[in-house]
Amino acid sequence: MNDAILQIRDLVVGFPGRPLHQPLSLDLPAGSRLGIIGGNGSGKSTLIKTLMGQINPYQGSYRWQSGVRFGYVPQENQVDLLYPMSVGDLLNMGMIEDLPRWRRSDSASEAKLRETLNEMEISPLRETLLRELSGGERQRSLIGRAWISKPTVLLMDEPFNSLDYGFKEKLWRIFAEWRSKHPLTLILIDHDLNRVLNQVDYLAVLGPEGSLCGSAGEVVQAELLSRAYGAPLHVHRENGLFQVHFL
Amino acid sequence: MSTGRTAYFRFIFYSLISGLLIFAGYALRPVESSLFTESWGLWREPILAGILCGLIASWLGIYVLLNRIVFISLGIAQGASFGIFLSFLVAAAFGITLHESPFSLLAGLAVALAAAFLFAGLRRGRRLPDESLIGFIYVAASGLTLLIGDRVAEGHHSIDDLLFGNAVAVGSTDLAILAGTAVALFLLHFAFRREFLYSSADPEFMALRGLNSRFWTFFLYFTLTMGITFSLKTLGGLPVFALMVIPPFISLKATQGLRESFLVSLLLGATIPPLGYFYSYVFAFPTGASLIGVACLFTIASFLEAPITRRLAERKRAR
Repeated sequence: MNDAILQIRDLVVGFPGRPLHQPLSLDLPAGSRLGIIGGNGSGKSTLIKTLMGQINPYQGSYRWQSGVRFGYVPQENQVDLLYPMSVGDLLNMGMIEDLPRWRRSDSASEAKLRETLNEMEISPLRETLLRELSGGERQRSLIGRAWISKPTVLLMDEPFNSLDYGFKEKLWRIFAEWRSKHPLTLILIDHDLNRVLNQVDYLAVLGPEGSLCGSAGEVVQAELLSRAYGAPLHVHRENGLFQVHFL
Repeated sequence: MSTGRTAYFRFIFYSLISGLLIFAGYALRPVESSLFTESWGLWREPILAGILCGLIASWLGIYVLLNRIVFISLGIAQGASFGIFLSFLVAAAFGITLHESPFSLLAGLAVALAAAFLFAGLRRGRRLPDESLIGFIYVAASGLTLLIGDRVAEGHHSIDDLLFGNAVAVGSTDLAILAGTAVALFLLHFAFRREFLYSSADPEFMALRGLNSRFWTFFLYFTLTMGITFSLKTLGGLPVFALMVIPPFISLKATQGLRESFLVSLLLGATIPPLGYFYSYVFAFPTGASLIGVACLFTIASFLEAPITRRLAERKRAR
């Protein structure tokens, strides 16, 4: 083995007596991008939680390279909004191990905080309570929290939810910039096949009828995708980009 | 954490309310108020103990409210009471009179910790609402206390004081123990403030950051139990419950940040007990009830304060 940051062998996630998809196997190289797609209830979020170690696999196994640092953007905000936490507090959660124990902050932490606030374009919201944010502002804050500690693996569950179109496009550029400066493996879930297809190196398509896992070039074939989705679809390339249409 | 204009305003507001209450006491009962001041030496230890209990309860109460376990202090208090009864019963079986022995407090603490950990463990399953779990612990401890209560011939007066608050009989040893407990709790909570807060605000994310949420939850419950049990011995069950609920409730109603929440709650926790003692003396109210009455007056005042604080915060954001 190799420089695979993640090895998956015949992995199935699910609940007792209820597997959610067909077995998956993959060696994911460090620094690559994996997209996880599938219909509602196909096990996408469960797969990510399994890979984070929060749920035991239904079947099969996975192994992370040692020394991996995780960042995670959940599908929905899970921070209890009863807590009067500000955006600054939320980002501090992401770098708790870097904060001084007896002081509020230090220059290094403060610099990281400012940098991340700027990248997410939420600097004016630093002192704003989370419960007073719009959905999009909260989503940017959650992405900032996941990123601030410079993880080596960034797991994101539908990170584009609630974001306006302009920032969605910008987010891909931000990911590319992060990957250019820092060793980063991206694993993201999205229900929008076309949004993810052309931005990732590897795809895992989850479906009860069939699941696929492999390089994007291998997986993006009409017959294979139709079987996985359980619905006929058409794949074509336009200007070098894949487009998928359900028939 | 934000602390700014709104925090200053709230500090000033509640300080003024405290001043107003003192003034009202002096205006309505000038003779008794003067006697209270002259007999300060008699009240010094109880008031200091009350302040320490108020600080402990109002700080821990923030976690209690944010974790939505408001009645946990009653459950733990009832568990502690049962532990104390049990210690008297066991001692009596060996022909020992406990009276004011620290053994009874340790027994109460042990049972209270068991109750708190039981709750924390059951809560993790998340199949039942928290109130039902607390209710179970409260009812079970109360029932068990009643079962053995009749068999405890000695010490009912001490136990009554524990349950209903004998906030005036505080010796220097009790005060020293309480001060030590307060210092230890505050040091622990300050040192691990982020672990306590973040692991309960988003346990899933913090588990990914390497924080053992289960450990920090149990540790939080441990400190809650220590704070409640030691405060019980000074103030009694209902006043401790009131201080654990009302200052945080007032603070969180209009708070603009975490730091402000704790500071305003602490201010109220330090102010309500001495005012309660003052009113108790001046108007001849029972001490515990007087403390709760003063807390309720602050709650009424908070309905005036909260809209102003929110308006100040909105204006600050608009700039």
